[in-house]
Amino acid sequence: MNLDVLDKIRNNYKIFKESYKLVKKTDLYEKVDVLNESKDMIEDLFIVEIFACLERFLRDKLEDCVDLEKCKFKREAVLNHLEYMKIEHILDSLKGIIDSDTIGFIKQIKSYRDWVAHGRNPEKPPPVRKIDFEKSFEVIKSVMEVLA
Amino acid sequence: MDKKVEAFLKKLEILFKQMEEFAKKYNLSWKYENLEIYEEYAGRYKTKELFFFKKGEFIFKIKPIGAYIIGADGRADMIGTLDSVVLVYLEKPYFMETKISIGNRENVVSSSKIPLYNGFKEPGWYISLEKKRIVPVIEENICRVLEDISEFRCSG
Repeated sequence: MNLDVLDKIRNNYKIFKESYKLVKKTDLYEKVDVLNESKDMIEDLFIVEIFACLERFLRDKLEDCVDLEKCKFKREAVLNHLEYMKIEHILDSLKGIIDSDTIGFIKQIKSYRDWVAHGRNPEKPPPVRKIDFEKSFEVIKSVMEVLA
Repeated sequence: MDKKVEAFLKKLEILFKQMEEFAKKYNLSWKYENLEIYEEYAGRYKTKELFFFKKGEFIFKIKPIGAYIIGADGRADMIGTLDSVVLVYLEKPYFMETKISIGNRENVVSSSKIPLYNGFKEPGWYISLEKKRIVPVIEENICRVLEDISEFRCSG
């Protein structure tokens, strides 16, 4: 996976933001809260997408490591398990390269993503909420750029 | 009460006072409405939303969102008639530090310390803009944002 996918996500987000402004000008919605909430919910889906992108990127990077000549482990055996590795454990293995605060930050984005992806349980709010999509995007992008 | 929420509510008071001062200068009227927030670590707690009007017409409001925020120390939304922006309270600057080494960990070949947000000066409320950009909640920036989210012009 190359980093071009990040530009695609950012462009899609820009289009969404611009469309959202146009919809607001149509007076289709009486209450500002209704539209603001829907904006927030759609932004959440972008969080799901950017996190999925990070996850794929990290697993691909691990696969690259297994492909290195000096790797003596049986390739298929390792790759079969790689897809099932918890993303939190993969993130922990990066602590020698990336500071633990940033890793913690990414894990918080993951826990927010889980809340969204598992149906936004109103009885159990997310442990932490996002600032906005752009700030989460920037942290994930920085991590991917370091590892690219 | 949860310590983080207690601190968040105090920071909100600062923000509300600041917005009231802004409203006085531009002849806006305002009213508060009760709001309940539910957060996993803090449970339910009460706070207020602050609405602003010009000649009785809604211009924007400040809606508190929560104390437990990824990479920040509190969030409130500034919601206008066309759009909204996120306000964040930042206690400190946040950074991402990296160290790339070859062979053993002592052999560091490159390291960096990148700020997560561009524009942090001191602890306080900031408007979250595009990419990493943040700007402090001050009159000039409030005016700029209001033009965008409510087509309200400070110049009249």
